Amino acid sequence: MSRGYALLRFAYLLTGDRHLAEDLTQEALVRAHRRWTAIEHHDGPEPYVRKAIARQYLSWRRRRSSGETAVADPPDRPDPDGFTERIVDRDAMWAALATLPRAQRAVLVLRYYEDLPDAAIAETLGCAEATVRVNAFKALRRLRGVVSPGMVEVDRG
Amino acid sequence: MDEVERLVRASLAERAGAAPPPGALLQRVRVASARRRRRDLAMVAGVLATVAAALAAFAVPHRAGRDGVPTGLPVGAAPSITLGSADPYPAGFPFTPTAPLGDSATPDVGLDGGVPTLWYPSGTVTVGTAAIAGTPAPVVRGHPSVLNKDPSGYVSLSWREGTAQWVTVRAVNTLSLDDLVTYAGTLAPRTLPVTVPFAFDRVPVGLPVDNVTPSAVTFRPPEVPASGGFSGKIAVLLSDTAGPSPTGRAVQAGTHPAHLATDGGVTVLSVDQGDGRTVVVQVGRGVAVDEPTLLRFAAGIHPTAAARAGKG
Repeated sequence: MSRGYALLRFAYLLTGDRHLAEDLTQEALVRAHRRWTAIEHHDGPEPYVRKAIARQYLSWRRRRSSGETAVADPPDRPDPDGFTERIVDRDAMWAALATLPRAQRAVLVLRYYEDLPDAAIAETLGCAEATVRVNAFKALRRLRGVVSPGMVEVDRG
Repeated sequence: MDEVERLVRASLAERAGAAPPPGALLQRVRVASARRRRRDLAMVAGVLATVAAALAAFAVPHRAGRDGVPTGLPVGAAPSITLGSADPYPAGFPFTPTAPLGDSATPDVGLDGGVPTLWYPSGTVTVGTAAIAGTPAPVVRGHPSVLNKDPSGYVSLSWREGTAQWVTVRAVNTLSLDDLVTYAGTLAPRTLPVTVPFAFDRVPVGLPVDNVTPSAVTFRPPEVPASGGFSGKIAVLLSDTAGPSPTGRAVQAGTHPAHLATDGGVTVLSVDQGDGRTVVVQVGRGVAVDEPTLLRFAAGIHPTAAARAGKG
């Protein structure tokens, strides 16, 4: 349970909603708790619970729409170091992530936050590696179209 | 890795800090796990009781027909909730703001995990009972206050009002501390009514409401702690995107066509309002509601003019 916060962070990045994140994590942990012995003797509890959270997120029946709201146009403030601009860029990206289909968002969170290779992402989501690559490609293409052109530079590898 | 990928990585790393703290998660997991274990044991006992009753009826023919099985719930399961007529909503928010927070002067008023809450586009105001620590901040309304910042870009100003009320104004950090202090000073000590999303003809007896938003209301069983989530509760939501599940079957909830599906112990009743919106009643695991009661409850739910459909 010491890794509970890490799992909550993962669930929050998937859902963008603190309450849903709590629901997803609690549900996954309850399932894990009931078959803890088997899980401990397999790959360990954290990959199991992370997989449970991801798959439950993909099939979740309802989402809450209220709660946290992205702020699209923060008021102007003096910003000599460009700090606000960077924050606004990340806010815009966070808002854009919320518009992605769930499978695409899950792939991005697993790839860019959890730093998992595509094979592990496929295992977590229960799909083929090719599907992971397609979802990542579509998600990034969509994000490039959504975020402001000034935010995107040429690929430097 | 290009700039968009770097931005995705930076955005995710930054936002991870806004995840809810683990807090009482372990305790809630233990309670929920124990409750499911008890429910499973009750189900097994129910099956055994049914088998025993059937055997007894077979062995003693003149007793056959007296061991009737109640409809809608398995034998041995908890009895279904009952419905009664009562106003389920809390009194409201104990303060009325007289100035805007950020650009908005009209918050939604509701309950978040049992905590009276005002929702603005740029933040929230809550009134709880738990003491809050933080960096000392200016005097607010004659009370010492504390300031907290979180990595997600929000700042919170909290102070104790009266003997047990802790008021917190949480807003995006584009608002200054002066903005928050000024706003706090405009809170008048009179109750602001809750934004009511649904009128209920009947409500579950003994299940208090712990969340009220413009698109959702949740009723929690007494053994389920108040929280912002929907697990283990009866949740009523208004949606403009919900469609019927591929599984399940058509039913009728009063005058409205509806669709009833169960998946993994969660029952979802979707009631078509005939205007593109759907009232979704979600009965969480461990909550015993038989079908006639569920349909009667759903038939008495009426979205108000203040209700806003969610995307779920």
